[in-house]
Amino acid sequence: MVKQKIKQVIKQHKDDNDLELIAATVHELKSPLTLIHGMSSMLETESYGELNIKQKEQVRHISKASKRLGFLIESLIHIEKLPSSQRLQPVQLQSELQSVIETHEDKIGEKDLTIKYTPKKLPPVLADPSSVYQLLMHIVSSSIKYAPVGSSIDISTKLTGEFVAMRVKDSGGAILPKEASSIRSRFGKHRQPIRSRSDSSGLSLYIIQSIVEFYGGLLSVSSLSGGSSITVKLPISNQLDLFEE
Amino acid sequence: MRILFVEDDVEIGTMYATQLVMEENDVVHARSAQEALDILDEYEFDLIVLDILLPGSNGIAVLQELRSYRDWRQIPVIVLSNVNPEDLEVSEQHLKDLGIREYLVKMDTTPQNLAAAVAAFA
Repeated sequence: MVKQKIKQVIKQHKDDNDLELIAATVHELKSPLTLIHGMSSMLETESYGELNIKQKEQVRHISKASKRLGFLIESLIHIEKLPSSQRLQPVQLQSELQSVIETHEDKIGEKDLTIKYTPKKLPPVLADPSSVYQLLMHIVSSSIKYAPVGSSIDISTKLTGEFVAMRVKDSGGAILPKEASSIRSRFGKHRQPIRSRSDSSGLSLYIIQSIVEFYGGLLSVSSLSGGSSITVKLPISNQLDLFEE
Repeated sequence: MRILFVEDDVEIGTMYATQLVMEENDVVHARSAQEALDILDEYEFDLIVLDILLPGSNGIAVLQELRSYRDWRQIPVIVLSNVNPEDLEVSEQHLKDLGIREYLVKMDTTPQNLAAAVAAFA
């Protein structure tokens, strides 16, 4: 059953003509992004002369934005290559999660957020480590982005049957069930009814959904009072044989 | 250091070359594989920075040509491309055999990063 589902997902990806559009778009984005990233870096290091405080601040924003864009492009490349390049192996979700949280320390500090997370001893999941990294980066980044200043983000992990489940809960606006059902609408405003998250393009959630589905996992989102939670379940690594042809 | 910079995108080439010149390198900019080979016929270089996707040909073809001439065989090459090495239809070993000393992905490489990589060859 699970094997059949995985094969179906792989086939769906292989057949998805949209992947070609993603590949072409991503390639076209690389050159302008190289210029934005490179030139903002030169300005930031004052290669063209000294900047005043306001100019430095603005250039830092450009630089940060270009890095964010770069990460999105990397994610799209990752999604596009999933059917052909995944390296399945046991991955410790907790240690990857810890590492992803640490990479966001500056942002967490800037917004005075509290991350409530206690790592548990759990079996490894079966996935490509780079997919797990992409997945966790998008989930955690999104939560940090929308969480109000001074609020808390609760992260919990547990074993449920043949899956490791991770839930991330924040108070940065709700995700309605209607949106949850339209996650697959790649560039749709999946969070459009939610004013507090209306600037979301839906791309992050699409990337999350694509990765989770590809590995035979499950994704659920739920609206809470003033917040939302996202839960992903990834199969544990003793199901390795199910991926073999 | 005398550097031949092979890049078809003028703006990207200018951006990187500006930083390299600021760090006291001499940079000649070629915009195609053929132009690079023509320039190499006339001038000597200490290092080549080479893009992979070039009009009319590609960086791998340039490398193969380079390595087939004794005079050019020893020139170190840094590849600077937005094509990831794993996406090339050649093996990692083949890239090494072609004498690529460093492979940098443009999108992740600032002009300062490139200048630092170049400085390692001084």
